[in-house]
Amino acid sequence: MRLLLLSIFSVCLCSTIVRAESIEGEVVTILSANSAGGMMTRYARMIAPYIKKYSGAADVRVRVMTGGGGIRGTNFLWFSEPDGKTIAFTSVPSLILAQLSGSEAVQFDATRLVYLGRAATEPRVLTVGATSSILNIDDARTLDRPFIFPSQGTDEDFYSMAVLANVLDIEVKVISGYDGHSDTALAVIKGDGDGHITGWSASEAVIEAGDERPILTLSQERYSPYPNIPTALEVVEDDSRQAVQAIVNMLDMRRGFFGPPNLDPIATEELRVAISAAFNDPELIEQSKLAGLPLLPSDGNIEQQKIGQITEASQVIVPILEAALHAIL
Amino acid sequence: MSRRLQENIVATVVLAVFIAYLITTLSFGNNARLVPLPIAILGIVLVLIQLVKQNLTEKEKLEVNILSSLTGIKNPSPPEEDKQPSTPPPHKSRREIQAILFVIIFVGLILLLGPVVAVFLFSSGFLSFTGHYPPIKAIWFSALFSVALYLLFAVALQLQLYHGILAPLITP
Amino acid sequence: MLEAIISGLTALATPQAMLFMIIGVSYGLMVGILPGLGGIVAIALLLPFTYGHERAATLALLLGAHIATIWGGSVTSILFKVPGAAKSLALVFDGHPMTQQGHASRALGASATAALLGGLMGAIFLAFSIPIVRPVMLALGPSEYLMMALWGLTIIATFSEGSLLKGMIATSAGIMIAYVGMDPVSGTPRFWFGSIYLLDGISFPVAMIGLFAVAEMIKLFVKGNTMINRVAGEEKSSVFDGVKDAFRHWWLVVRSSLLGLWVGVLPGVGASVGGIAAYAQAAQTSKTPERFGNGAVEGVIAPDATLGANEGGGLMPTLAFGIPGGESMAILLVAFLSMGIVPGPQMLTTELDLVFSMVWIIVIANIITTLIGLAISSRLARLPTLNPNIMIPLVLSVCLFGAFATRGLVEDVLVASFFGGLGYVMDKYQYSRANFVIGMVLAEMIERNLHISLGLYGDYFVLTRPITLAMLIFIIITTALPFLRQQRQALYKRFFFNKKNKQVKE
Repeated sequence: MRLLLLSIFSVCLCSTIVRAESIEGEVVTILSANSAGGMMTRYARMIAPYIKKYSGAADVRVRVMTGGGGIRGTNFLWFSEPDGKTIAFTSVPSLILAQLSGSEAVQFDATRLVYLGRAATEPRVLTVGATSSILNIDDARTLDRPFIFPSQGTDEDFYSMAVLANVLDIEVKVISGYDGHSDTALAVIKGDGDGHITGWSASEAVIEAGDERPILTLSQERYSPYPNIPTALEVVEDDSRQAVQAIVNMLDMRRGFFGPPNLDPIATEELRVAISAAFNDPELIEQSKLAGLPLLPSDGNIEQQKIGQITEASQVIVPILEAALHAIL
Repeated sequence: MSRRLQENIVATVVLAVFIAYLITTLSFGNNARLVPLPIAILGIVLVLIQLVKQNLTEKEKLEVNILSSLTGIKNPSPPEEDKQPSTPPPHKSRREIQAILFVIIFVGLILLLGPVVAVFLFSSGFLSFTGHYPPIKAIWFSALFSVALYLLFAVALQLQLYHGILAPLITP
Repeated sequence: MLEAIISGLTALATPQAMLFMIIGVSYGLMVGILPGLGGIVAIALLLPFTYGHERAATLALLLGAHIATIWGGSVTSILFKVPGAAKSLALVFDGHPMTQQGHASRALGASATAALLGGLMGAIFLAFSIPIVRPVMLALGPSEYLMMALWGLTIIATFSEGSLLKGMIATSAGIMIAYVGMDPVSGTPRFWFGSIYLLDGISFPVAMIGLFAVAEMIKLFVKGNTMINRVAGEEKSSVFDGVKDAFRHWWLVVRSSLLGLWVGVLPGVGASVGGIAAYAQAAQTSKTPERFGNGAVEGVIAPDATLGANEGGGLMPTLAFGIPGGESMAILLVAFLSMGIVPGPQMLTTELDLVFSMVWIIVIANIITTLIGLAISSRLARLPTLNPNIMIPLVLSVCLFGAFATRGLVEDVLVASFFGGLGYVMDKYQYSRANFVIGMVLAEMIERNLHISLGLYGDYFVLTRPITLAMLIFIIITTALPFLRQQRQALYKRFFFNKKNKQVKE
């Protein structure tokens, strides 16, 4: 009987012990706010074991919470306990853009999230189908019909295209509802859509295979493996440059870890240190090369400073974003 | 309460839900309501027809087999267990209330104490209540079962357990 | 190609690969049997253990586990009316009535054999259809996917649980519930009432656990009797009757396997829809459709064969384009990349031996799963005869644990119990639960693809897309087929009856 009571007590104890503040010995959940097979989730899954290695957490797990171009997962994070046990990983520009557009779904304030570190950033690229009559961005501008843009919802590519279309005077028809980038890629390859925007790493295999053709990059400089592809900053008039620059700066924040507002200072510090250490782990660096998921890390403190500045400078594109969102409601 | 009255109550509740759904849908943009709006309207129309039919038709004709309505052939007989008795067995309502109460108690325990403890308390309580096992044996059985579930979900499947609303009270 | 087939097999002939395969299959069976958990969970949990092993062994572990979860899910559908995962839903329709009639062993035998045959045929078709996968993928678009979803919806006319009207009301309610959460098209939050939990939508496995498992336990308590009205040992048929059934309905297995293969190949369709569509085609092409829903073995064979073949198909877009055919394939894609397997068209040319290794893994994993399944089926078949006083706490605990495990949210336990009450009321007043769930499964696919089709092809896309139009005609014909067949039989009977009467009078 004593043994029985002891075992009951042990089970009760096992399931009720909780600790606060430090993440040491705790299970940390990374919410990947994008699709299970998407680049974001692949990055999160690749990095998670290394955060565990350097944080002292009992485990670091990835939980996929797809929806609304990252908004669903970030909303969830916004209401999570600020104890460091729940953090998120997604495209930071998507969140800023959704907030700026006044999306009803947005419940968070991107400037109040606690940024823990950037894993990578890469140029976004506008690609068209290999069999498309559009050979360059000028062809898209002079098209005698709307440019069909398959989109997975209100993500950063949707808003980037809205800004591009506005400043380059391209009539765009957005077809929303696709299930992730793989779905929009297939639509473009098939010819259902004219072009879509993705990261280089997601497009490179399709471009190499000859199924898609890049026509424009959204980056500060030309992408070195494709030096003939112009950047958006090169093709816009001077008076529109500010809007494109705002988008490009924002896209530079790309794949980042962040926590809920008022994240516990001890947990914040532990996570920032662990994430930074993980990015310097030779094993992770090697693995990222092998998996084709390049790292370009940035410290959480630096990202935290950037967010306020970017949001402030982006007020110029707010009317464009609002109009784009209104068009698909 | 007659079967017809019960059916009417159920249909009215469903109708109210569909109407509330329709009203909510009207506040959405065109794209967001493209499918939900017609579904809400369809639902309301179907429930209204159902309400009219079940009050104007005799009971036997209410439960028409779908294939029969399509094909005109006689209803195939359902499995023995699924046949509704013409008169409800005695104490059926009481057992229904008991069953619902059991589920509510179990869920309440999970919310308060987390799933592992709740499983132990519920299982031992249920086995004792029904008299299936004597209390000591019920506790033994439930303890083993709870440990097995804990090992399966928390250890083997690495599920992050919920500790219950009361956990902070006993947290050091 | 022959060389690739042989080298694909020899890569698996290592002790590590075989051991990993057996571990994967056993683990997959266990995960599959637990409600709410499926192949995605199985693969995701195994992923961290895959680094640093032989490539073939790692694939054997992951794919083996994934394959085994399919049959694991079928077991609980057949025995307890508890679908282990969304894709096992169709097994509930006829599998459980078979259990109630004392044919649980036969249903399990038919299920395991159909899954094996489906898996084998899927693998064989896959090997031969490699050259045409790409053109087919490119030919079919959102409007065709929409038609496929609508085809799945036609099955609501097949259930005899209640009236046609009530069945349609239940389907509408299921669709309605599926739209709780963020709209996939515009990002608009719908029916969320300010709840962050509802913003994430109602989890399908959680709703299913409530509607079937919890509701069945309430029903069992109210009834106060065992789940099936017989005592252990009174099985009216054996596992091998089921095995024979699967072979006897070989043409149904072939058709269902082909369907499963292509459902897997087309990204965005999903195995849940495949299972329902397989059931629909089995019921609609049957000469005795009235048996469906009442324990027709074909209703078990068709969905299991489709699910068995589906996995092979799902590998194709994952390997050929790097576009995952489903969520579990998406996780497999992560494993592929970490093993240095870079998907793309070259997989079907220069890396063909690796593709065939995977085909072989599917074949072998299916064989092992079926052998284990057949060996344990007769024991499993006795479970529904357990005393309800034992069964209720056990099943309720596992199911509510499973509901929690689905997303790690305690709110899911509340939702499962709410759906339990709803399921009980629906069952009592004969609003088909199956129709409700079918509506829920197909709702998002219908909405997404309707929006995209309207946007891309205009309001009259059904008429302007030849394949879509052909599929619509096919849907109309297959839906009307049982009706036409029964009308013909009725006319035939009436004619002979009149003739006989005349003869008697004369």
